[in-house]
Amino acid sequence: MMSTNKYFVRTAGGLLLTLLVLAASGCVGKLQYSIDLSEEPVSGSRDLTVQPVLQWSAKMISPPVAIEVLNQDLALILSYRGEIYLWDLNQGQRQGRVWQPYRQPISNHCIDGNRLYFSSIIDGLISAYDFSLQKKLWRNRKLKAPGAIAVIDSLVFYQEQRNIVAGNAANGKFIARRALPVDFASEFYISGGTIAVFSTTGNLHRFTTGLEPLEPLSLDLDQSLSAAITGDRIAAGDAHGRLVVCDLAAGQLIYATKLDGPIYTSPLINDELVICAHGSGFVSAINPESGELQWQFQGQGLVNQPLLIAGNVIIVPFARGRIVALDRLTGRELWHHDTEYVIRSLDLTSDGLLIADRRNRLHYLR
Amino acid sequence: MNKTQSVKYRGGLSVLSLAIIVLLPVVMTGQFYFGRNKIQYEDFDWQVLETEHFYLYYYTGEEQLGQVAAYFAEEAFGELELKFNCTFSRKIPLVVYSNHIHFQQTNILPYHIPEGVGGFIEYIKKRVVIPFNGNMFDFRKVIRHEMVHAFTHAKISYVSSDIGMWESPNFPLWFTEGLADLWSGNWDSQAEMVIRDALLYDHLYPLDSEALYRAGFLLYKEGQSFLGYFEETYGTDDIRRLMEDYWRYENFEQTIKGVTGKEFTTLMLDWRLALKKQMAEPLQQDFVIGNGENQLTKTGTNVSPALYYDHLGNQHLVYLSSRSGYTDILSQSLDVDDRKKKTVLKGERGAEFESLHITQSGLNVSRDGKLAYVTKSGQQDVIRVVDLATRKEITSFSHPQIISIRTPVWSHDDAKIVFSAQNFNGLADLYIWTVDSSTAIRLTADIYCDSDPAFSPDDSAVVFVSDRGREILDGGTDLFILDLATRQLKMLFKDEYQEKYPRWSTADQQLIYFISDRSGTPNIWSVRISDNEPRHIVQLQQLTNVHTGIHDIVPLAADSLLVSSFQEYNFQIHRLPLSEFSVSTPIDTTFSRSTVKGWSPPTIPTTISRKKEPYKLRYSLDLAQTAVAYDPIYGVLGGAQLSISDLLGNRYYHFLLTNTAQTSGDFLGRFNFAVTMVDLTGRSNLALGIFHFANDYFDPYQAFYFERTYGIRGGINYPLDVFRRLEFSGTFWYSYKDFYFNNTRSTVLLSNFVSFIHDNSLWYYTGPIDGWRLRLTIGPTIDLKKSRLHNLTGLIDSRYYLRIRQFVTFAQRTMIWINDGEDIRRYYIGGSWGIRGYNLYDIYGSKYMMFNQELRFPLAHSLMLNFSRGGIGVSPIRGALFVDAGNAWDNERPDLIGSMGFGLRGLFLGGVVLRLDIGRHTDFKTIDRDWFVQFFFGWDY
Repeated sequence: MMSTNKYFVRTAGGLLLTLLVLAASGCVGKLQYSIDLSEEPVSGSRDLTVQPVLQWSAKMISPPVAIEVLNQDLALILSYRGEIYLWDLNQGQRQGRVWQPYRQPISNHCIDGNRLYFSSIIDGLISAYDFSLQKKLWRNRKLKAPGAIAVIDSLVFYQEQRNIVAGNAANGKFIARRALPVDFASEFYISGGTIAVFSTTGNLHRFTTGLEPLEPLSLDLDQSLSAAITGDRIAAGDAHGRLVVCDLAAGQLIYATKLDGPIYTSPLINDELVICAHGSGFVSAINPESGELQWQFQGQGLVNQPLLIAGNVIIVPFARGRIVALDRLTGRELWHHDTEYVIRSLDLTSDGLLIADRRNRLHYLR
Repeated sequence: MNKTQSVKYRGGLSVLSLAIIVLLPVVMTGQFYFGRNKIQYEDFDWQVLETEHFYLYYYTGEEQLGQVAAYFAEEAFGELELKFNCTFSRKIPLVVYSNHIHFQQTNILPYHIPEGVGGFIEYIKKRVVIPFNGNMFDFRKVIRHEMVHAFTHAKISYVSSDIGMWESPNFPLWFTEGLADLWSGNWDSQAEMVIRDALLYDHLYPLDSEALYRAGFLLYKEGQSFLGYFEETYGTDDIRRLMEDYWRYENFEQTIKGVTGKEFTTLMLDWRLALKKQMAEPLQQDFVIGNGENQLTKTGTNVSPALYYDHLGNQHLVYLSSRSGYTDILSQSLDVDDRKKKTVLKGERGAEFESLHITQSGLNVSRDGKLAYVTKSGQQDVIRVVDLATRKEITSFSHPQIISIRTPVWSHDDAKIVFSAQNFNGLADLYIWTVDSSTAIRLTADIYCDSDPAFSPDDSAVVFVSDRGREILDGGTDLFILDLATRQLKMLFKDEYQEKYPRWSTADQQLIYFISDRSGTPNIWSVRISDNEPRHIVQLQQLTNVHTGIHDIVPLAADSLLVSSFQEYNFQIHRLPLSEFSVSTPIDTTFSRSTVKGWSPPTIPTTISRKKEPYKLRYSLDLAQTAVAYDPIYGVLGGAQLSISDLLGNRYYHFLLTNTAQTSGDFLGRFNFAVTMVDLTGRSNLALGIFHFANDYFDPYQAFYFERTYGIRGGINYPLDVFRRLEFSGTFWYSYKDFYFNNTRSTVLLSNFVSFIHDNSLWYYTGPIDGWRLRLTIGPTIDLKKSRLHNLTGLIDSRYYLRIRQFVTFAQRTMIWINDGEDIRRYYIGGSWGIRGYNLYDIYGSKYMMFNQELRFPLAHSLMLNFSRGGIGVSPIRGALFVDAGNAWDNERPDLIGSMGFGLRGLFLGGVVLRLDIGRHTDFKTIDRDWFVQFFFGWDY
């Protein structure tokens, strides 16, 4: 009897110690920080006509795969090493613990309201987490190379090999599957009740939320493409410099052209203009209805991160380290900011810019 | 000695050897026990030009070249940034040398740089180092090639670092070099020639085969060809994806499958099939040069044929040949019945004939039998003139400002030699040397690359090749005639191709033969010059359609030529009767002379060029490592090493810090440290260091003891030439020894060592096969406290390799080591590298002598285990018959003991030599009946 108790105490003690170590190493399944994102805008739109000033610079723990500004105080960072954590934009430091649900890169994610959906192509996992409840809602295992994720109402859609899988967003339960004849080349683009995705053959495939296929659009784009959607309009550019603008709802090609040099970042659609970075430092604003070149700006070198728009200002991140602000209507340079290192990503906050460089430093301009 | 003692001994040695590793490089940087020397002939005045993405290092005299290099580098950066979808903000150091001879003096790589190296990137400090060969198109291509390496490395490392991989994966060499060739220039006729030959003679190796890694240049071209096919089939983006997505897959083959959907082996078959289809049509039309009585050479690379008539009027062929492994000048009769080869000159074995630049320099024989050839001698090339009848050197030419010399050609009056040369600034121009004088006249002086000159039949003009007629740098070259009286320059014709090697016909003075790649590979064409026709119309005629290609030509008679042609991955010399070819109809080519204007050297805009300043010594890290070890006798041993150097690799500082304290009280007193400064700037390599060591040691003569030493050490290496050097080193130090039995000793010692080293050996895969190596060392240590000799060390290590046939060598080694006095070292000479058949520790003493004889011969091509996913094995395999003799002793010299037997040597995985010896022991009176079998690793002695 005595030895049984001793054995029990030792086992319990060991388990407790293990839990403590796991908790200390951030392996418990939550961020330990509650946020309610249901009412707050995800990113701001203050006009950045006046050059913002550097507020702080700080080192992140590992290379980020994505940085999402959640509200005016917080940004969410997902890393190549499978970590998820929050960053306090006011203090310039990590907020709460580092949660590492996967040991491999988080390859895709999607934020919808208070929920974060994320997947790992290597681990073959897709999970959902609720910021306000501070808990993991569900996790689907043993998927074959899960890809991009999108959420419409109560449905979560994700790519798995050549299939679009629809599931219940609340519990991840499988609902339906639709196969594509070829591989996916992009994430999902959603407009109203239509979900669209580019394939490696350069076509735009459209589906209803019930995964019924609509007439695909043959666009002949290269599989290395970048696209963005605004309203019903989707604009895409590829590594051969081809630029297309389509009406997603109507399934119509509105405009197609070929620009000088490759397009490595998604074009921006704003009002009547499509703005695109291409080649070695060119930024062109084109009216897709008339095909007229509205303005063109010549910068220095590669642009491989998305252009941003803040009111009437277009923010262009040149990979070599210069961020240039252009007047949306004229293309005139308003200001520029130089970082010392190659730009990895940037995002707009409610009143500034959050920049990550290749040395894993975050810079906040406000 | 029993086993326990030997373990302790090695344990005790570990700390000491760490110190020796740090101290000995004092004078050994770039030099080793043997080895050739890198000599700093020039004292370059280095400058730095900062541009947007580069720090450009150039020296006074090559300012223009520096500007052009900066332009090419920035141009490449802009283009490759887009291709790779990757950039970097750290500036790349780009070091430019105005010629290859200067480039070979760089200290950025510590070892001797072979002539075939056209530039390199060093990955620790990401330094790109490029020589200029006189041709701007080549210069641009090499800069781009190295920049592709820089981007490939950055792209792969970025992804690895993002994913958190400990180190970046090694992409196959064929991929990195093939990509560098693919994205640095177009597929040219040289690449076409190499791939056609590989297909024709069935040595287009699978990309994952070991044989390809030993094939040198073929690896580059196969890689380029495969990736060209890949890019055409799947697009540039998929090449980029290979570098972006590799982390998703287990290996490179899986990555290829993941990106393309096809197995790598299937893709390779598709590529080979595409190549074969592409070659099928030209092969039907083309002439395949092959074995037969017209083939004059068969082994090695044989180029630069020249004709020589002896006093009886017999025709002889004189040429450059690598059949021995070195480059020699050979001669042979053109008579079919007498093809015996005679050696005119043995090159690359001594300081006067350091290099004969086999495929570049050329040679020529005058009508009166004087041979003119080029050899590198010290800091520059020299033209040497030898009387072929007496084999004696008559005269020579060199000039301090002329560094590299190519293609000397005699005038028809045997009085002058025209040649092309690169001066100190790097410019490649034409010169005429009047052989009786010591001066040369410069015919051209500009940025354009002028080469391959030859006199007209009346010696009034020179025909040559130049890129001066191109509007842009496109790699094309044209033929020009320079009138020597009026200095008027005339372009013969203009096209988009590469022309080279013009030679006037011996039978028709209006006809010039030349080599052109108009037909896809280099072949012989002729151009008829006539003053009666309008000057902008010339008549061209293709004379040969050799499937692979032709390197150089000598008109033999009206209807035949001597050529060196590419065949079975080598150049061979053939007599080529033109009647064997279906000669094409002459074609009139029209060009407008008004459009003939040369390109301008590009210079970097001032908006990109930021500042120029003299080079300053700024040190950065080369090596930092720490180690902690536990030894049951000595406890925990730990230490750190650090090495820093300047960007040009001229100055090094090595630091060592360890502590062997066993108790806290010992901590301060048991610090071991050494600081060594090495200066490689000048011809003499200098080193100076201080040290302090306090350790427990075991020595077979003194058992366990504690020793504290501190002092200073200095050294000088003076290279006499590339093959010979003198080494001096001296150490002045205090030594305190505690033998633990109330027995201590303190003294002040001074050691001096002098060594002479010679090495001109020629290496094969498993070890040396020709030449000789010698090391003589003597070193007294003097006890200054007692004013007497403390100990004396002397050694003779001589290794001679007698070549019997091309791959059969008799190797002889004599080693005599003597160590006498106090604090002496014990040597162990058993084992695979000593006296074979004995264990390492079986034969030992403070003195020894050893004599090894070995007959080395080829045995088998390979022994492979082939699996479905590739093979693994040993290749080549060589045999050895050996007799070893020797012994070691402390006081009285014992009788000789030895062994005899046979062995096998094989190269495993392309880099490790496996050694198996089977034999019998002997005391040279009787031979043991038992056989021993000994297996080890390492090169032959």
